Amino acid sequence: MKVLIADDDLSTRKILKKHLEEWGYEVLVSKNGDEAWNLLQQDGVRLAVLDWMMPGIEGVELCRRTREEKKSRYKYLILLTSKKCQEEVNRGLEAGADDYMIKPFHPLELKLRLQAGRRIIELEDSLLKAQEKLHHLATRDYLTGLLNRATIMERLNEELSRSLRVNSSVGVVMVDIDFFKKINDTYGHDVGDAVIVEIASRLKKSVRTYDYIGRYGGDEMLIILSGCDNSQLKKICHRIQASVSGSRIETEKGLLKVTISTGSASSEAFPRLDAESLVKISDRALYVAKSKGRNQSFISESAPHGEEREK
Amino acid sequence: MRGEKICLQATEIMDYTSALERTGGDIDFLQELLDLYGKNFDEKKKFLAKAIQEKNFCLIQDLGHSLKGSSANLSLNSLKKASSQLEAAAREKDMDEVKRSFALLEKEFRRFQDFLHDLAPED
Repeated sequence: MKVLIADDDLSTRKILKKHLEEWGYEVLVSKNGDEAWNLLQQDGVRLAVLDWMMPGIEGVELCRRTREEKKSRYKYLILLTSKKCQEEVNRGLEAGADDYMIKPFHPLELKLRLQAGRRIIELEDSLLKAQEKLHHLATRDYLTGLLNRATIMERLNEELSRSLRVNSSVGVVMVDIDFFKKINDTYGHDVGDAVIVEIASRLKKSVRTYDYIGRYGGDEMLIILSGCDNSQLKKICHRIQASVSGSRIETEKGLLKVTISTGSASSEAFPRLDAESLVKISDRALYVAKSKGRNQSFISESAPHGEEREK
Repeated sequence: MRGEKICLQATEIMDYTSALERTGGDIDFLQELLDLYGKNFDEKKKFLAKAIQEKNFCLIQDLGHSLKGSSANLSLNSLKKASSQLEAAAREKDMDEVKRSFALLEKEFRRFQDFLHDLAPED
């Protein structure tokens, strides 16, 4: 773990560095407050031993600024100073120091206080990890790793609002695996799952990094294409289709030829529609594509209850 | 042994045992730090003399504080005490007391140098 030492006194820096390295820490050293502030911005620095009075930014101000920074991960700050009156101790802790030690320090005591800081940092890391895992579980589809239905709909709402602000268009593509029930019935659900996973992977590779893909349900997947008008939509749909039909899918039951159909619509053709309505139109377009004999793409261009024109 | 000789002399000038403990029991490292302290003191003394001449209480206080910290780290008790007095006098903007403390600081530094001399190995 990286520890920052900030002290304008050379002997203190040398003593601290010697001990901290012996205790297994990676040590960064600074002799003034400005330099210390720059080093504290590094994400890897999670522990710091700061002198109070230094040229540039004082230690107590470093504590205050660090606590105001909400972006970075928690930093455990120890003020090590010869300021020892109660008022000063209170001021240091109030500014955001986690601990306060008065010079001269006892090495073993500093070691133990650093260990306490390390425990706090590790605890925070494990909590954040758990939080990330929970967030992943709450927003992702367990089988494919794609966004789940609730999240992809949330993203679509956000993208539609954004497109109104920036006056651009959003494309929505509903993807369905052709004859998926037959795959499941013939080869079993494990093979069906493997097909879904592989298609999800191919779809991810066929869209742009800033597009979103979610598993809408069963064998249906929903793609959101930002800044995409009807002409781009057509190209992307063909690319998506070709990515699946272009090569067979390897399964435990052998290589399978699988195709998909897509139904899509864009906010360019249907401005000011909400997410649910746009998805419904894409779903209807998918139905048209399927009725054309599958391995087809269909883009809806007319009003929801009007006549649709095949592309 | 240098350390043993001085351990017996844990005086008001320096608590050698505690300083040695703070430097991880490394006698050579402690010696290096003491030498460094001496050089650093000379430099700060010049700044202090100038600050006193200019009645720059703020700078006197900072320098006193800094010397107090480095003296404390090396368990240089009398120098720590004199630096602390200097810092307090500057805080109170008491020039007479600042001058007295500065004189005391210089005296204690000379005692420290004698102490260092005694610390040197006998060839």
